[in-house]
Amino acid sequence: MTGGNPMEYKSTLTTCPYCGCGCGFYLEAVDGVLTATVPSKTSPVNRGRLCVKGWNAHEFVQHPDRLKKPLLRKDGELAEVSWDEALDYVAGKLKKIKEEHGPDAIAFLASAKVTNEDNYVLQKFARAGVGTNSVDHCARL
Amino acid sequence: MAKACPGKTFGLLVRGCDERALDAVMRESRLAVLDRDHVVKVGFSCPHELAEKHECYKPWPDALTVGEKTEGAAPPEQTELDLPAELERWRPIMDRCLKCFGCRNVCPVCDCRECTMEIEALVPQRELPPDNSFLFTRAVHMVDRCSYCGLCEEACPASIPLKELYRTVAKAMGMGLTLPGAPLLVRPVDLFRRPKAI
Repeated sequence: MTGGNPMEYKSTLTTCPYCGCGCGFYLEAVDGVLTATVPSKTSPVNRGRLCVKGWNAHEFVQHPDRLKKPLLRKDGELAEVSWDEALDYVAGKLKKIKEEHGPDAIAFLASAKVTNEDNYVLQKFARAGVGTNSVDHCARL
Repeated sequence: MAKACPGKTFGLLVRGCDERALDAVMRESRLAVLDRDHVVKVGFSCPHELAEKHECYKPWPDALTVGEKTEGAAPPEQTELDLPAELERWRPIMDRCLKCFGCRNVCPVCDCRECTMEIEALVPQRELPPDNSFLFTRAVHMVDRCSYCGLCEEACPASIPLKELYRTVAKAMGMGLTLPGAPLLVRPVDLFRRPKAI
């Protein structure tokens, strides 16, 4: 940052990604780097409060350990691959398992970190696409 | 922000509680980046209704720039403190704590690089409800720092009356009604000295 150019401070109202409650909070960023989470007092869900996970929601977003690209284990080592290759690999494996052991050999675990619509699509894929009722929640992992 | 912009001067809007918190932060050497020479306070007083709601008896800052002083809430009553009884009264209230660290995160005067509440040797970790030392440690740290702004109470998902807890602990140290900046009458370490009673 140069002397004449002041820092950019931004406070963005958003929804906590950790669970289905949907607490409202502000993510504070200084020069594009997330620095803090501040609960929204006007959100009817959390009314200015957060749990310990929500309070730290800004920490994982730009964490260096976060996975950003699909990885595939090749010869015992994780290697970066394209989305196409990763999806083809998973689809091929699922198909093979279904053919050899039947659809009930596959189970789907939904996520608390995604929207209702995403979870709806997941169970639809499990039931209509793969043909199994084995759908459960990530909390039981 | 002061860390990101060394040497810059900041203009800050302050009410009574903001000013108390700002002064407490500036008094502490660890935040030397934010010093008196680089802060211009623009003070205004909170409306009386707001002060009343937040039980604030000094809603005006000393650096009053705009408007006039407004009337604060009545100061809390100064009653004799029965420490053992108080401890018993607070125990079940403190057991409601979820250890969300919200009170610390939202606190305008909390800016330690290392927080005692997260140090195993000082406060037992990974326990729920937390050991009483969890909230008491913070309360002791708040003596002479707390601006009684009430942000911690508003952020507490367990509705623990933290302002009252801090005031009680402050009272135990002979600092019941004083606001930060006043000289300490009893040093926290003296509380643990025996047989010299307080």
